[in-house]
Amino acid sequence: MITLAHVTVEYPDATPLQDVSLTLGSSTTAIVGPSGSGKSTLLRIIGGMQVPTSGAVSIDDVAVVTASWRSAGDPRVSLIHQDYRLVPFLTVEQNLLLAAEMRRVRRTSADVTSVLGKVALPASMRGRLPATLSGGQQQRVAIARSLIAGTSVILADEPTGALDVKNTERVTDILVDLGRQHGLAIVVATHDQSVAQKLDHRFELAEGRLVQLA
Amino acid sequence: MSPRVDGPRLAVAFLRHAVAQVSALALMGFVLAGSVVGLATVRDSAQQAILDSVRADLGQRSYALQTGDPAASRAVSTVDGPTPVQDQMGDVMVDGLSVPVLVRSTTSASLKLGVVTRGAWPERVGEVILSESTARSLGIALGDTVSIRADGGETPGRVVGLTVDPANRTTSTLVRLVYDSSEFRPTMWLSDSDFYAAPPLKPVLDSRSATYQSLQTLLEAAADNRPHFLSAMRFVPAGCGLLAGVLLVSVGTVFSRRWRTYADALVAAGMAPAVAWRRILSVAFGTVLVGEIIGGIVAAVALWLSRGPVSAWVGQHWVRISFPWQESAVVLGLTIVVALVAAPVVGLAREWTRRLTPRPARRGWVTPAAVLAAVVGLAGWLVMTRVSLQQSGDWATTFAKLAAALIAVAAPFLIAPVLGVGLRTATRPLMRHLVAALRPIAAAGALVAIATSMWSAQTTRDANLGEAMSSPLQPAGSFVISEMPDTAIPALIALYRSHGGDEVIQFRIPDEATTQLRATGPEVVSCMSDRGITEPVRVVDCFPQDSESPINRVLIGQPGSTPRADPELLDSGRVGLLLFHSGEGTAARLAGTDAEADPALGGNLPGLVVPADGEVAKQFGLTSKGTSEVVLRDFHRLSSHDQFLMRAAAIRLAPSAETASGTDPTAYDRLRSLANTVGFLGATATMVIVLVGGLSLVVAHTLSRRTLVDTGAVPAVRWGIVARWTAIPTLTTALTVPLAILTVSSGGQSTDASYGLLWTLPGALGALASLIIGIAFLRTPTSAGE
Repeated sequence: MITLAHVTVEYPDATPLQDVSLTLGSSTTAIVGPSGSGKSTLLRIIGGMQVPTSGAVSIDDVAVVTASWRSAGDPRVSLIHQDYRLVPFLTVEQNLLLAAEMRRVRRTSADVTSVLGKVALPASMRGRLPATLSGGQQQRVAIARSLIAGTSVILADEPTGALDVKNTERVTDILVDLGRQHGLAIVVATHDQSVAQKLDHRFELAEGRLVQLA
Repeated sequence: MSPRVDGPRLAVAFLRHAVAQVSALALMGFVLAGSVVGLATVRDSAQQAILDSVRADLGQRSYALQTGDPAASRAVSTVDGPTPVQDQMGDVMVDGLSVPVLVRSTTSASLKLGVVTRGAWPERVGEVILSESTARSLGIALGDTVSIRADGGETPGRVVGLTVDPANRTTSTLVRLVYDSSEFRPTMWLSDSDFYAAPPLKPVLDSRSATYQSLQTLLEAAADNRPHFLSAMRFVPAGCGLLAGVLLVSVGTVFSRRWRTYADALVAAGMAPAVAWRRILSVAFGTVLVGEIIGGIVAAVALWLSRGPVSAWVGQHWVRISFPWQESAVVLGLTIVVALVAAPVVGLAREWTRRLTPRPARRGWVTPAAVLAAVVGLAGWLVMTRVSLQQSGDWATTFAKLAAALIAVAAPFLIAPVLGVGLRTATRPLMRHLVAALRPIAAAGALVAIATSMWSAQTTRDANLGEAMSSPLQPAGSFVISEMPDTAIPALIALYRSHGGDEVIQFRIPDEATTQLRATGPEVVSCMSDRGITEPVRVVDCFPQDSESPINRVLIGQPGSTPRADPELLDSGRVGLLLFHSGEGTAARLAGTDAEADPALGGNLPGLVVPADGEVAKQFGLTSKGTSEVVLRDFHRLSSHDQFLMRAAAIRLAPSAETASGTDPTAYDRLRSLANTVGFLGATATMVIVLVGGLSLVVAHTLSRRTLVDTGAVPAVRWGIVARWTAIPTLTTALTVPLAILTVSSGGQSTDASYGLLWTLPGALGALASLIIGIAFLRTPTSAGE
């Protein structure tokens, strides 16, 4: 369970988050809002990639570990980016195994095949480099990377921002399935209403305030 | 279980993926270490060749003794150990052709005089070894018989070996094995034992009838007698390494943008940023290190293989090369240090850029201020250079330099508006936007370039001028060899004349074993006599005021000549004389004599020179002990290379003598080395400023660059914009070259003294760095972010 208590983020010229309190369970949640509204900031705060000006963030009542130059951050959380951020010189399998190694989780080639299956990618793609995959495939590999690491919280920052309609639908369905079938807490920051509509909960971020949508 | 991805597999995958980048880095490392090791090898090998030459001249023995005194010669011959050598000038002849050579005769086959490159050492009387150059010029092969003419006689010799002088390719020497007969008159004895430890020689050396030097002392003297190119090269490897290092770091900085995406991907996989950057940088620096190791080895091997032509190029003949372990360790060590600090620096840079908030500001006053500065600078420069040309004044020169610096700083701000001329309405504001931040960078680079260029040129010229004009010795520009055995003097004079020298003065040194005769002013003698004082130090008030040596030596001149004295010691044509018993400070006898004034005397030269058959010599029992003081008066007229060769020859022909040069290169060498170093440092600093500043702007202008591509600007338009943008630092730094030399030369006297070349480096490399940032600007950016 993700808990944000009175989180405020202030910059010299803006306050993207103002006294935000939120509790999210094992479900899929959409954070919507216009560009620059603070969606990415909120995800970074939940993932421990950024320290709020005030307030606290915890997962299962344990404070989120803050990422720093020397620390990779909280191992319970993984972040999916719009630009996928796959290691370009490693194969798909190596990208997945590296993520597992970083969290000191033992995984085999069979686990890789299994995880790729969950994101609807064939096992034959294990040996391919990211540059040989389409955008949708790369984003699914990025999701698989989060899965194989055994994280309980997946944060996705505009995961479909660079995808076409067909791939957007596919990636969204995968995220929804993962949330519902595997009991993961998935938070998606998006400005795409079609993506938000498919998720369990929807919040709108405007002028630093978080408002739950019907 | 799958093998670990993090570790060697990650490194190998990165290497295979970024093969172009790592190849470039390895190449840069190769060039860096190759240039440093190569240049340092040349420098050290040239220095080593000089030392090898001295060792070979002494037959690898540790001590050399020389005497012109027959009694001292007899004393040396009674001692076991010293090997006699006779040096004399002669000719080697074959088939009617002849070449002058230094003939070195020895009776010992075990004495290895020289470095044999082909054939063998002489083992029997009549066998000779000959310089390769001489053999080549006469068409002599091993086994040929030649005629050797020396000392009035002519003897045959069979060439059994060819030899070289590592320090001097043109040396012409013949070493022969001879019988110990009456015709063999040694000029030198060589030994591994200290001559002073031999009881029969102690009194001879105490009375200075013979002189000797250790190999160590000679090596130090030879090391000081560096040819010009060696002095100039002193810091060249380091400077070159610095430049290559700056380029390497610049290339790394350009690549780091790509590496950032790799690091971000590794972080997304769960790796800490510090670890991710360490992984990437360790591979990058690893390839640099590999490149450096290969570069160093290749440079050393290439120089070893080409040591013949390379050493010929510097006028030497290397039989080996000297590997610069120190420089190699420094290059590798610095690379490792930079590798260790690189990741923390990236962390700091990330933090710094995160906090950096851009604040665009309008600076409408900049161009008018620059115009005002340029006008003031130009006017000041014209006036001050005119003044310094008419009258040599430090203040005018200093102000001219300040004015030149002002012009250089103002130049980019004046050039920038001109670059907008001819551009279309939409392009002109873009150009203004692009050049705004480049102007201060170009100004900073130009300031460093002109300051260091002027200093380097001025210092080099001062050193060269000082070397040519001034001298701590009398007469100026002379080369003085004290206590040179008379037997070695003809060979030295012949060599001096062959190098273009003409004026040679020789003063025979009297035997001062029991008494010492000194010349002084007649007033000193009168004062001592009147006051009843025997110690001259107590009548200092009577010393001649303008004399550099108020109590000076009395040496022996040619028979039949007139006594000559230091003009400062003369009073009404007379000079005072003081006779001392050895080791005592009280004069045993006061006297005086008539003499003619000789402006060449005094200072470090004798105060009085009397004929060997004159009244003073007879009266005071002055007899030569077989050594002389030789003054090569027009030594300064020789080229620097010939000066170097003559100094080396003096060490060779008279190893036991002491030398003092009015054109002593040491102090001037230091100045030239310093000037070269400043030239390199200025070049490095200018490059750093232009490259780092320029490349930062290239990154900062990513959006503009991207827009130019996206709006469909044809290559010619983009190149035109980049050419104008790059023109600011290019023209500014290039302008410093003529500005610096015009400023410096306006304050100097009209002489042939050279300004050197390295002062041009800051301006030239600043312009080169400008071209590099222009090329970087042309690259199509992958993402926008201005």
